[in-house]
Amino acid sequence: MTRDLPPSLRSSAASGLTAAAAAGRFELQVCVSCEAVQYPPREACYACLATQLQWRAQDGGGELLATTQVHVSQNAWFKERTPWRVALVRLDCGPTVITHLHSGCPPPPARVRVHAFLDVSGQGVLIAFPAEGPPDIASDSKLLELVGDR
Amino acid sequence: MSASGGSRAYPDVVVTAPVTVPYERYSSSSAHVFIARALTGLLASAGLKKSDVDGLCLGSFTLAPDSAVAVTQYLGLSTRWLDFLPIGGMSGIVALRRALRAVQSGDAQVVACVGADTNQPDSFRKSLESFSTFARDAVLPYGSGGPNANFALLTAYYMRNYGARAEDFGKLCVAQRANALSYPHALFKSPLTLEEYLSARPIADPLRLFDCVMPCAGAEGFLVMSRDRAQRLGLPYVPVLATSERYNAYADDPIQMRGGWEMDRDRLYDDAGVGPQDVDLVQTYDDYPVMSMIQLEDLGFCAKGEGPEFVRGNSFTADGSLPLNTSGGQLSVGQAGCAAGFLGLVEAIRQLTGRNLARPVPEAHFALVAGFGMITYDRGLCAGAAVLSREGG
Repeated sequence: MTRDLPPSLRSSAASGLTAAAAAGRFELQVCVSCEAVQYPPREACYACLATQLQWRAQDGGGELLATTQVHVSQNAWFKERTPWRVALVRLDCGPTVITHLHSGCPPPPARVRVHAFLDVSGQGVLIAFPAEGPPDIASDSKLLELVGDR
Repeated sequence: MSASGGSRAYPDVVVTAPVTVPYERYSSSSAHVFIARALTGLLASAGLKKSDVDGLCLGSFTLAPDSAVAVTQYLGLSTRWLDFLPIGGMSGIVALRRALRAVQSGDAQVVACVGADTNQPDSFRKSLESFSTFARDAVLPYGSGGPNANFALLTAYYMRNYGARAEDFGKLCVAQRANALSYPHALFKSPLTLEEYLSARPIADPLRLFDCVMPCAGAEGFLVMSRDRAQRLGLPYVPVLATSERYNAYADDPIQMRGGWEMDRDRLYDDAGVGPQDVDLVQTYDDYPVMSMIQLEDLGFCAKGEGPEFVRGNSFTADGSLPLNTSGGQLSVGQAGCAAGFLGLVEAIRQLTGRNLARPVPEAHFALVAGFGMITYDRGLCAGAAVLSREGG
C-alpha cells in the first residue's frame, strides 16, 4: 500500500517553484520583456504574451486577504489532518496566491510573509507566516508534518 | 420591452421547449445517456423528428474522451451547425447566445441546446484533478478543498468587508428550498429552516453544508428557432431581449468581489429596454449564496456592498418581493455539471410561458438569468446574463 501524500501532480511550468523551494528560496516567474510577475506558473506572459519567463527571488511580503479552515478535503493525506488552514494573500509584487497558513498569523487584514517549502510529496508549496521574523515551521505541528520535519 | 414590443437584438428568433431530465445523485450511465434523454424530451415536446434538428449546442464536462462532434455519430445526428461549451455555469447563457445568432443568420433552423452530465461515484474527485492547469498547480495542493475552499475565502472576505452575516446567506438558501418544494425535479424535498442551515456541519469556514451544491447527474435543454416556426408548431415560446457575455473581467482585483456583469449591465439593460426594476424574477447562478448576492449587486438590484441589506429587505420565494431561483436553484435542485448552467434559463422559460413545473410567479413578464463559473484558479472567469420576456411583454 502506498503512503498517502498531498497532491504531487504539477505542470512542467511549475517545476521552477519546486527547484527554488529545494534551495530555500521563494521564486516566481518574471517576464523578461515587461517585468510582470506571474502566478500561477505558466509558459507565456499574461501581460504582454512574451514566452520568455525567468524565475526570480521574491521577498514574499503581502496582505492576508482571507482565511479558511478546510473541513472536507478530497485528498487522503489532508483528510487525516482536517481542519486545514488555507489563506489568500495579495503579494506586494502583484499576484494573489493561495497558501497554507501558519497558525501564528493574525486574522485578516494583516501583513504576512510568504515562503516556499518542499512538502512531503516533494513539491514546492507556499506558506504564509507572520510578517516579522524567520519562518517558524516548528511552532505549527501540522505544517511540520506537511514539510516532513526535515 | 422595446418600443416595437419585441426584441431589438433578436427580433425573429425565440427560445422554446424547456426540458429537464430528472436528476440522480449518482449514475453509472455515461453523459451520452443524459444527452439522449434530453434530446428525446426536446423532440417530443416540439413534435419534431431527429432529422429536423440541424444545429446542436452541447455543454458537458463528463463526455471525455468524447466531445460534441463524437455525439453526432453516437446519437445519429447530422447537423450543419455544432458547438461544444464545456464551460459549466456559463454554458446555458452562451448556448442561447450562439444559437440565437445561428438561427438569425440562417446557419441553422432548429438548434438543440443541451447541458448534460453524469455523476459517477468518483466523478467529482476526478474532475477536480483534471479541471485546470492552475488548479492542479496552485489550488489543490493547499488542502484539496475544491471549489468550496475558494468560495470560503471569497465569502469570508465579503462578510468582513460588507457586513454580511451567516443569516443573510441562510435566508437565500431557506427561500430557495421553499421554492424547490413545489418543483418535482429537485433532489432536496424537505423544508430547510434557518436553524438547520446554521447548525449544519462545517465544510470550509465560513461555509456550511447548505452553502454548497450537491453534485449530481442530469440534463437540461431548450430549442432555439424562428418565431414563425414556433408558431407553426404551436409551441409556447419566449423572446430574448438581450444577452451579455464576459470573461476574466477585473483581473487586477486582488480578490473577486465583482464579476463581468458590472462591466456589461448598462448595455444589457439598454439593449433589453428594461432595467432591474422591471424584472419579475431572477435566476442567479447560485453555486454559493455569496455569488447570488454579488450577482444581485453587479446586475444593479443594489449597490456594491449593499447585498446584505438588500437580502434583509426582500423575500425571494415565488410570491416574494423578488422571486429568486424559483425552481430552487442548484442549491436545492442539485448541480448536474453543465446542466446547472441551463437550470435558470429552463426555469425562466417555463415561468414566462406559463408552463410551470414549480410554483408560478404571479404576473411574470420579464426574467433575468445569470451565468457564472469556471474557477480555474482563484475566481470565476465567466459572467453572462440574459433578459427574457413573455411574448408581447
